Amino acid sequence: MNSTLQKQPILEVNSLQVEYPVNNSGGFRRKNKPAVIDVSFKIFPGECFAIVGESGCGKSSIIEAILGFVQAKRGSILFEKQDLLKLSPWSFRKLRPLIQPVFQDYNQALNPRMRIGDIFKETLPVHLRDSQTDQLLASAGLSREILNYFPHQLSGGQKQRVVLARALSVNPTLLLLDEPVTSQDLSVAVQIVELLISLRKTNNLTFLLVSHNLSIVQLLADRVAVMKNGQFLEQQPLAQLLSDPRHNYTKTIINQTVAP
Amino acid sequence: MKILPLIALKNRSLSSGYAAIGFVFLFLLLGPLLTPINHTSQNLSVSLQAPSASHWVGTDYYGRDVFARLVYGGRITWLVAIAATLIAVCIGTIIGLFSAYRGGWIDLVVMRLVDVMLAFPKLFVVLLIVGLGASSINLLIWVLALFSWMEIARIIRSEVMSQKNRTYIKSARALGFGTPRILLKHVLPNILGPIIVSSVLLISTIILVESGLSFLGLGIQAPNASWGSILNDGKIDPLGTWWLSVPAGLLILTTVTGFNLIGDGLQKLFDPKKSL
Ligand SMILES: Nc1ncnc2c1ncn2[C@@H]1O[C@H](COP(=O)(O)OP(=O)(O)OP(=O)(O)O)[C@@H](O)[C@H]1O
Ligand SMILES: [Mg+2]
Repeated sequence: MNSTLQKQPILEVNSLQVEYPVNNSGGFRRKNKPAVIDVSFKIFPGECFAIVGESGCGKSSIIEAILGFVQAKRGSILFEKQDLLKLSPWSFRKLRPLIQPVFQDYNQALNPRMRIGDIFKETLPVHLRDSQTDQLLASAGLSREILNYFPHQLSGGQKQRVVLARALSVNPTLLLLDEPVTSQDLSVAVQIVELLISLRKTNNLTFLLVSHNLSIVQLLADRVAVMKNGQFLEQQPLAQLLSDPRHNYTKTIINQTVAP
Repeated sequence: MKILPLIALKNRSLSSGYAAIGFVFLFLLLGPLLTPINHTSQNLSVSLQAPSASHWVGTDYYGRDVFARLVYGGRITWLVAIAATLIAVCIGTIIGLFSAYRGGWIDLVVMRLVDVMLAFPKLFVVLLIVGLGASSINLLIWVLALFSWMEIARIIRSEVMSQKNRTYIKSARALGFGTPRILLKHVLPNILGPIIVSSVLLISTIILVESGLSFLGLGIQAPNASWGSILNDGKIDPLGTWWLSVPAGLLILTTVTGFNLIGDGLQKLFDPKKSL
């Protein structure tokens, strides 16, 4: 972790607050329910920062706020020193390719009306299209024949690989991985984790990994934050968190986790 | 729906709709081959004759052949309805897509405009046409279109609303695609079903409106004909001159029912959950 002291963070989130409106029928004042409360963290280039916490604690909301899909109530989100919350829509759009999400419901992440080949055509420059498509397919462990398929003709694991390959096609530096493997069966999950590990090395990627499952997080993360009810309880390097958890909640999670 | 299964003969409303529309279409297409008589040529000596060997569906007040007028009038009725529908669908789709995708105050303003247009008394439409002196078919088409796009815009808007937070749209935004690309390449292909259904249904609505206007003498003007104006020709004595009122009425009924059946059938194909 020495190197992190010298490097600038690629992503720095400060006192982030995300709220959703609550349906209070008949009330005059619009009430809001906080989903993310005063969350701060930094991610340094090349590392994998993970957020663990039970379902509904606000993990996806952090990712949605980084992508600008929900409005942050307070706080700042600095990506390479630029505050994403203050960027004009135009400048935000220009840097969007650098931050690529892999959404929790990756089953819905591909346009059902487009063949996989056309999905890649959308993001790759014309003159490099064929060679880059081959390269992406190879790095994601996919065969060429799926280029003619529609998304519904692929398995869950294949869809996840296509989503990853498409994200890589725009040369991102930061991947936001929301529960990347939890809805797959174990053997597919292991393959995807291995793919993520190798892609991170070959493409110099930084990961923000979000999961309720500590055993997945253990396989990938350098540092881990534990989240509950919208708040971070603690954040530590992985080994330290496992050996010396500060919070009872963290201990519970560790005890529930089967060793990988 | 993997491909557009526009021909699904197991679907009963669709097949009967196709049959009805196919019948009327063939009538309009082949009609001129069956009769050499010009639909505007007058011959007062054969005024208001009942169907006979020389005039299969009789003649009108000016002695014009009603069969020929039904064919050419039907062509005008269809042309006006389809052209007005296409224009209305284009306007409605563009406005609905844009309004829904932008959201916020733009959406609010546009939807209030739609409400105002919908609340516009239809009498004004009629007065507008009269005021503009709607002798031209073009003008009639545009007026009908301008008062028909709102329903389409509403349907498109609600469809876009249901699409725009889907994960594949978010993924497209995250890739940095611009709004026009997302709307045209990602949203539109996924809502083609509802657009086709509402367009087909709109054709029959517009046929009814145009027939009504022409029946009142406000739509298609003589010497041109439309089914509505032929009905009008027979209105003095609808029973006595039944060959003016009944065939035109039946053609309107068949066409409107046919397009409605096709619309319902397509709706069932595209979205089995929505239909009963
Ligand atoms: N669009 C929304 N509108 C209203 N409330 C929402 C919305 N999205 C999330 N929430 C609420 O915010 C809280 C956090 O949701 P979030 O999706 O961030 O949780 P999560 O940690 O990702 O859960 P999971 O592991 O189940 O995906 C939940 O209580 C949820 O009900
Ligand atoms: Mg989530």
